Amino acid sequence: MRSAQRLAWVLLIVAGLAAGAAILGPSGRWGGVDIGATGAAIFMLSLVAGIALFATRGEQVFPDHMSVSERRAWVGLAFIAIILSSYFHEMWVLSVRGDFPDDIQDLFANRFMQKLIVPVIAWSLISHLIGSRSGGVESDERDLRLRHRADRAGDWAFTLIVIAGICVLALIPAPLLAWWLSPIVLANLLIGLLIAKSLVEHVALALAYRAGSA
Amino acid sequence: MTATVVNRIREWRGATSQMTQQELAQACGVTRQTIIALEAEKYSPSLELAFKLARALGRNLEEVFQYVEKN
Repeated sequence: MRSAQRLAWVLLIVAGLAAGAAILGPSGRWGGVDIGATGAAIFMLSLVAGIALFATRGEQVFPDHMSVSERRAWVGLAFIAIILSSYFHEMWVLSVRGDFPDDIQDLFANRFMQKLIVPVIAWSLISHLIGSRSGGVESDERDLRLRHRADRAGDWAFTLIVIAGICVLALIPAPLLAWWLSPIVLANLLIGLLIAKSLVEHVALALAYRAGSA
Repeated sequence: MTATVVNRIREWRGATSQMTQQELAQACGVTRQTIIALEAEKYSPSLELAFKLARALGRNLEEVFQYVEKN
């Protein structure tokens, strides 16, 4: 394993632990240290270090046998997993507190959306850097075929989740639904549905590349 | 009965054309990983790519690809 690969693994583990601390311990303290804030700060630093790593030694981070699209697929999987974890945490916190905003306009001002900004920018930058370092064809018909297969897996997951949602809504008594299913809750659930679909697509794509067949 | 497309890309590339996988990939506008997958017969190319590969190797299509039926 090359030094850049070792460094990438260290950064990934640090980022994962820091994201876990930021997500699970926003108000917890350990030895007088704000775990959530410290985790968030370390997570941001690891993202910056990751961008710097890809900018300087990007071609050494992944094994040589991986194509640009495969590298992007694995990076995307890591980021979408972080985004989904953050989403579930936000939904859990909001449901426990019971302070979902009433106004639909507040949707894009809530903490989850704010937390999304930096990871999405880092994801875009790293994806761009992976492509800029390749110097050749970034994707071809095999990549498109694998992407199409992953998209179909995402469509199936989307359909199954929607059917499951319909069943749940049908089984919950109407008064109970009226109590918690506000427009803003529904909007947040739909955002979660889109993130889950994207996660399934990224998992399917990464597994398809790993299997090495189209 | 099952059918599969087999190819002789590795044979023609190495023995006759003396091309590397990267050179063949560049000639056909695909990634080296696609050439690897093709040579391992883990991927069946489109008709357009099949013609490009045959042309890059200086062969007819049927010299490079064969459609084989197995019982």
